[in-house]
Amino acid sequence: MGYFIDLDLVGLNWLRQLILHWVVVLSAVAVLVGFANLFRTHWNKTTNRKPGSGFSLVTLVAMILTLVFVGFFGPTDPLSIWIFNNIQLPIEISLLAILAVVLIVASVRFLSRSPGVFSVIFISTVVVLIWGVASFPGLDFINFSSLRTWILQIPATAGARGLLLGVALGTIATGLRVLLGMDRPYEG
Amino acid sequence: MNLDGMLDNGMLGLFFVVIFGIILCTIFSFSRFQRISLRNISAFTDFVHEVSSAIETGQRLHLTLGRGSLNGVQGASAFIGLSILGKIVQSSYLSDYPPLATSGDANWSILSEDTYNKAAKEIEPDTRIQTDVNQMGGFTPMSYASSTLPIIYDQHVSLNVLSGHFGSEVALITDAAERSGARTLAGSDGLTAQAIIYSSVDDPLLGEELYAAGTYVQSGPQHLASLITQDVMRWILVLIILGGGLLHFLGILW
Repeated sequence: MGYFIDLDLVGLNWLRQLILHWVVVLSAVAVLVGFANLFRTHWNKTTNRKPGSGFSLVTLVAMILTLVFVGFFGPTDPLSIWIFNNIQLPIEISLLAILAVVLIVASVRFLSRSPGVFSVIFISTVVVLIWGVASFPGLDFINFSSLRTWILQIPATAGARGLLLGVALGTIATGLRVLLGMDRPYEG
Repeated sequence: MNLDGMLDNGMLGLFFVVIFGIILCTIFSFSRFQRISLRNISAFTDFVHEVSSAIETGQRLHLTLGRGSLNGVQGASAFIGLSILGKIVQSSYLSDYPPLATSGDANWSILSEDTYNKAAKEIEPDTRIQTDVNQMGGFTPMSYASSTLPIIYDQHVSLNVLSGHFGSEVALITDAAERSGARTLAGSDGLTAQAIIYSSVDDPLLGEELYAAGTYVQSGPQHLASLITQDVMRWILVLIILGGGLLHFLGILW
């Protein structure tokens, strides 16, 4: 309700803030539960010597060390920031780099798996959009930049709005089902 | 006629949701008595076949709920995943390899475990609570995606179901599924993920098709009522958009 109307007008803003504080606390507790779940999963994998248990052991050691160091020194301590900048960040960047290659492979696989008009249009659009960003020496006579702008502003926006409209209606329907108690798959 | 200032965006949105809710409740009251033919979505036809095939061949089903927050609009697509998870567990709990559920958010990890156990107790009332079939993958997008890869490669997975909020990291998951020879049914609320899913998955669910999953896997009459309500509201919005455009063109509305 607070999202749609100003609850200050009806004197209920304090209730909204109170509930939001509860949500923050519960979310933090859920993060701790998730951490315990992650620890338990890798612990079981390590102790039962399942495939990949070596990686699980590394994960467990990293979790414990990070928890100890960051918990003791604090998240803004230079050591904590060092752990983030020199261990987590490079790993995530490496995965992003792998992601770029994976996307290229997926595009090629897409063309070979389902060759058709729409797959050709899909790949052609991707090529045009990329070409419109990059500048290739000697190929500037082809005005891909304005074509890219037109594609983004007209057909892409139109298609995206159609998809988002459907997603928005589905989101509202799902939310109402949960709020009205019609849909409770998680009742234990 | 100038509508700016006549309409408050907040009240208009609230009015829309209230109308949506009224129509939903009305249709839900009558939906139990209706038989409605649904258009064929090949993804769900293949899904039913793949679930049966996985049970017969002694392989596992894997469902992942994405990394969207329960507290935001990104959580709706994962709720659909919970409905699918319930049906998957009911169908394949007694197979050689029970289904696995993963998620990138702690809230979904808790809810998926509850859904799993509820569905399992419907099949086998005396079953013990399963604590090792729901896994929290990781707290960042890349760590979550990379945590699902060992499951896809090493856990005899024949069908992967992706239902939730994903980003570009979904490409790692779909690529792993492709390399392992497993089939994938995937849908997301994000546009980036939908584009990747369209190009890399056997059975993509685009736009609102994901939100129809509950109806197609027969999770209850509330899903059919929800689907009908979405269609009604979509037509109302189409008429409003076209009508507004026409009025603007005629100079009556600006």
